[in-house]
Amino acid sequence: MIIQQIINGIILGSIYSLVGISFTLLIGVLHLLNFALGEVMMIGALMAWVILTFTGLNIALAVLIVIMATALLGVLMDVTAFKPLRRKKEYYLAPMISSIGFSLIFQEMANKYTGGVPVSFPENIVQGRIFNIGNSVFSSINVTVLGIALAMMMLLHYFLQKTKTGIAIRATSESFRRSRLLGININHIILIVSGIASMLAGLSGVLVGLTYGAISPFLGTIFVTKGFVVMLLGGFGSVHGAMLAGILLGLIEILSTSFLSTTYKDLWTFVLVIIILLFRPLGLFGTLPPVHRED
Amino acid sequence: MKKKPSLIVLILTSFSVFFLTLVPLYAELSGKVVKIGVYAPYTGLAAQYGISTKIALDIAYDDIQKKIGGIPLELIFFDTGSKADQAVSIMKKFISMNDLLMVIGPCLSGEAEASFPIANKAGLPTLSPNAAVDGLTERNRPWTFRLREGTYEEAEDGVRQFRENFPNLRTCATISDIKDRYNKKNGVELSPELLAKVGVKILKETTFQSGDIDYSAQVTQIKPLNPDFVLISAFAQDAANIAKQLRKQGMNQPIYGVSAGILEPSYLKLAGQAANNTFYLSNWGVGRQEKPETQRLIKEWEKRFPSKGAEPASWHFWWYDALMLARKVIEEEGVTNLPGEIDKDRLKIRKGLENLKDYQGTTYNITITKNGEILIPKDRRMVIIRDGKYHWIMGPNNYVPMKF
Amino acid sequence: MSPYLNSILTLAGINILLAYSFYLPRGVGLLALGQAAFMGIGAYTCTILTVRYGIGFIPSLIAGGIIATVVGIVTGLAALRLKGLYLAILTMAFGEIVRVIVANTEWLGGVEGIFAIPPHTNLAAIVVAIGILMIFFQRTQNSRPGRTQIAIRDNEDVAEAFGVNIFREKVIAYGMGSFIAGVAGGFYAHYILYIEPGAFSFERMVEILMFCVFGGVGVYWGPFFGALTLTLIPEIFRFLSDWRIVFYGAVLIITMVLRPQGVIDREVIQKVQGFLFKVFLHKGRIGRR
Repeated sequence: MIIQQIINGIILGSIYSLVGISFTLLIGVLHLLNFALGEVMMIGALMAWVILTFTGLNIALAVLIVIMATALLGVLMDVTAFKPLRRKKEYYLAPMISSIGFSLIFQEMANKYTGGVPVSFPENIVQGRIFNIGNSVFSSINVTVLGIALAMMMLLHYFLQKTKTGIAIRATSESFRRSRLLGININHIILIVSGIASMLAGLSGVLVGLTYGAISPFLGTIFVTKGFVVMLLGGFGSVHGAMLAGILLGLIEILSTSFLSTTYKDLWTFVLVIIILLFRPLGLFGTLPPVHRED
Repeated sequence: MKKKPSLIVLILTSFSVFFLTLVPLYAELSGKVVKIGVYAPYTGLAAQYGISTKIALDIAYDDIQKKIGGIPLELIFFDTGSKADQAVSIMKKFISMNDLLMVIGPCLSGEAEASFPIANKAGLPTLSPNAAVDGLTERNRPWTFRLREGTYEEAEDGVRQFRENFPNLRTCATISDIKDRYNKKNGVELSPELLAKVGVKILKETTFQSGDIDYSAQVTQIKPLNPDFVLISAFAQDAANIAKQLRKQGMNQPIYGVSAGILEPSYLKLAGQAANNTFYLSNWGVGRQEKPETQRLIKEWEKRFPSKGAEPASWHFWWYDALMLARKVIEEEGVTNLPGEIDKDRLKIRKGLENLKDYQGTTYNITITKNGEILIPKDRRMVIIRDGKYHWIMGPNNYVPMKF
Repeated sequence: MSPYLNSILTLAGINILLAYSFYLPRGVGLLALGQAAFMGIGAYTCTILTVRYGIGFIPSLIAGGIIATVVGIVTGLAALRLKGLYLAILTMAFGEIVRVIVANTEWLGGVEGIFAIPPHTNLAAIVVAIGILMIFFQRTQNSRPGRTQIAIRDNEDVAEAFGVNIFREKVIAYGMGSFIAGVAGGFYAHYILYIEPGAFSFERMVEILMFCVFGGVGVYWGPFFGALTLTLIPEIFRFLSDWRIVFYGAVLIITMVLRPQGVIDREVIQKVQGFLFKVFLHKGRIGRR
């Protein structure tokens, strides 16, 4: 039984990781807390549902379309609402409020479109083959989801460590001014990071739809909190931290529900948050606390 | 440097304009029109309930040709945004409008809880088709009503039928949503207590919160206990996910659904195969769903719903019934709708509602009790899902498929 | 005054108080995101005293504020050593913990909450409370305590070098913020006549945040304007029916792009003062360079 729970925890955790990475990317590079990423997740899931239900394209194609569309959405949000605020440095709360504005808009439009009713992916897509490992039960869908999540993380790792753009992104997260001096096109970097963060969120949405069934316009709200916690636990701005922290959070949630009272599940998460903040605010891998940009 | 016309002046002027626009909103209106207020959540978390019930209401509106007693009927809709604060403001607004005969709504218990005392104090007849919280209308006599019975009576009826129909199910494990009050009440308080009274042993109680996405932990906990059946108290989507998880982990016991979720058609839709062997107390009286009249309503509802493929739940049609019986009461009690008569008219409506007996509703017959609720309908029965279809449970192992 | 207008203004007044509960700690540079929980603590305390023990409204209201303050100071002692975003997240987590605990405590009504609360709240009392606060702000902003707060907000280390006891100032500001939130909670409970844990969730905190950021946290008129406007807009725009919320979201986005410092800031206040001087005191030269 415990093996089953551990594996379930890892699957849930890997989705949390992706969400956490999207948040931490924006905070680390752009010092931006974008609440609307939860809604981007929801839009990703809904879009996939529409594609799968009404056009019968296969799942891989649907995922591709969702990835491109949500990346575009992220860029759009940045260009319309966040970019104009970057020049006015002191008001770091303002972009947060704008992101809440986007949240409201996305939620209500989704409400209108679906009539508020939760929907789920077509049965044939979600019905994987069930197989057993010892006492544990898994579906081939679980394997796929875990695979995609891990592959994404590895891709990201490679991208950030080994490619020119990736290194440029990491440089930018340390200082805009110095990166500009080195000839990095900050505007491009910003667009790329916004796109990647939203794309990851959108992808997580599809993965949630595949693994857990019902998708509602309010899917995003739950994941925003999780994203925060992962970001904090892993260290602000640390992608590796988020990867690890997400899986940890998934494990903690599932294991605490199995062995402790199910009533207080959320409580443990928040207590954990408080303990971290009081004793190790930098999280697992954080280096510098997020300060207002000086450049 | 020439000063631009100040931003402040702009702000102050807009401000004054804002305040002035509030004035016309409560000026007195007269005319040859009958007005009924409606409030429900059309945006926010519970938007699906508002949207679904509005469709049923609109169908009724069209069915009565948008008139009551030959005079055009105006329905005044307000959105509560799924918030109790707004319900309060809306009720006050209704009251200050001074010419509403009555109000239909709201949907959510929280909204009703907050706004009913105000309606009652002002003498505005208010009819909530489905608000579930216990004692709601009892606490707000004599002006408030609802088209359902108290949670306890409903649960009692369910368990009684359960015992008759499933004499061999003796042990159970429960999975309940504790975030929603209705689900929590049913799953954690009422059902265990009532089941124990009929000799069922509760092996384990587990809980979750609506909005959770993973239920594997709860299922893993109850699986080794091997109960005869599993009790689920949750919203439709959570219940469906739980059912899927149960089946996935190899638990094929029957599922007893309490609370509103499992009796919604979306449960079967979302759960698919996993829903087989689920039984629950339906809101439908036997044979009512099959009637051509009801089928027409169902098809009309599906046509009008924003996304395709959704199906109406039984309780959506209580809103249809609400408008229909509002019309009946207004027409039959001699309501005049003359400007000076509003208090007398409201009193007539109240009396009409109080005396309502055996009104033929869509799902069952409606008789209002002295507490402003309904008497337990006699022809309501349990339903079981087999082979992806609904069956009436007419007796132990006596399952009659619904035909339509 | 029509009951409808009265109820809208009452709600706006409660929101103004809540906005101030965030504004006060913000004045010393603290991002306190747990104020909704203090509102809840005040609401539940006040309600239990009036409903179950029959104690009068005003004493219960104040008791609610005091209990909230006590909790605030105790948690503040532990938390206020953190800075910026960390404090924000901690206060947010604290808020959620309070909500979960209340939701699972049957004596407090659990998830179902407490209903049938007597309607003691009246607009006059709220106006008085707001008035007291605003007079307080007006008088302290140019005095030593006010300047101290601004100094801490702008640069803690320098302020400390000048001998300011930063920690003490922070605890005081945080405690005051909690008190106001607690009182607002009591008003809220006796207006809505029904309270449940969900009413004090992070969603509420986000609303409070919106009032402040929209209105501006630079001057004390900011939260006032922000809370008033954002409470009225959904009411005034009811005719948009279900597009209201989308409209509201758009208003937020556009306002932030145009005025990220909030609608009301020092400049605006000075212009308004200049304008009023001109109009009422006929002093034509005020405000000209």
